[in-house]
Amino acid sequence: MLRASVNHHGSDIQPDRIAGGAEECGVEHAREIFALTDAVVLRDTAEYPDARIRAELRFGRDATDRLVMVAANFQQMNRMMDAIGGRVPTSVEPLAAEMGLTIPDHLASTTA
Amino acid sequence: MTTSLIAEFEALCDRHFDDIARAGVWWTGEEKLAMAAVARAAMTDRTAPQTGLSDAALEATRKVAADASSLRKADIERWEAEGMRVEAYVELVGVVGRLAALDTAAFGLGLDPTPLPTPVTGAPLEATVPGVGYVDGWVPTDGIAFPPTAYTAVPGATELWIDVSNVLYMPLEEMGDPAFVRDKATRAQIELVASRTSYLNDCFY
Repeated sequence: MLRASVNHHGSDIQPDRIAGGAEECGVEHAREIFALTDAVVLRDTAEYPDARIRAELRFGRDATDRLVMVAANFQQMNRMMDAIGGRVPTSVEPLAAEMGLTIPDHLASTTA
Repeated sequence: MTTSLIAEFEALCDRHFDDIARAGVWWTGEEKLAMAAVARAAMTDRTAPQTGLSDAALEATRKVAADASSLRKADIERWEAEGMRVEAYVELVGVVGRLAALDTAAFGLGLDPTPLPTPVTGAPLEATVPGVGYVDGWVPTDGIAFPPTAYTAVPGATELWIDVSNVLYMPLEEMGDPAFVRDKATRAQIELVASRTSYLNDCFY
């Protein structure tokens, strides 16, 4: 869906840049998004104030709050899927490869 | 944060901490609150409080909270051998997952974490769901194991997950819309946050 939503705006995603946290990943102002996400997910009290202010200046307060809430939701989603052993569909493998990642055997699926 | 977002998030916290304080399907309110306390400590590198949780429940709570990517099917089988039903494990994952979401959101919104409430006395329902089975996952699910079915072995657990997801992320019916915008955050920005969070958590799904 990340790729579809980026394509919707006439651009394309650079998945390897997501892992690297680079600005030029295909989503505008990714640097602020990565900094905010990292500070929130890692609960980095040192980095959070600056990341928060930069995100608010770039996106506005409401959008920044929404992005924080999305990160929080995926704290739940990630734990859920890792804990139930949901297999990663084979259709995701090319994207993982673009990110420079290999899906571990215990999560690999034969289902598309 | 705007007044409406504050109200929406606080109402979400009210609903879910109230639920955690009450007996569920396989755990008492006291046990669920103990999981929340242990998970909260594990996620913030603090010493866990003393609880009455079994060794299996304590280890499962800590792992799901702070090291979920290291979980394997053998862990669940070991906890089952120690007496924890797999459905109880699924309910535990739901409690810890919701706690992780609500505490992370509170941090990111600049709010204090919601204090854990007093447990409500009551016995677990101990109800099973007929027809669930192991389909490409480590726990029984109603169909293939993926987000909408993850908690289907526990009555009511899916609805709790959906409530959190609706408020923090987006309604299920909007999932297929690449042009979705919420609070001026675009779908691309939303999914970039989701992807980065998953990367940080070492989660491949």
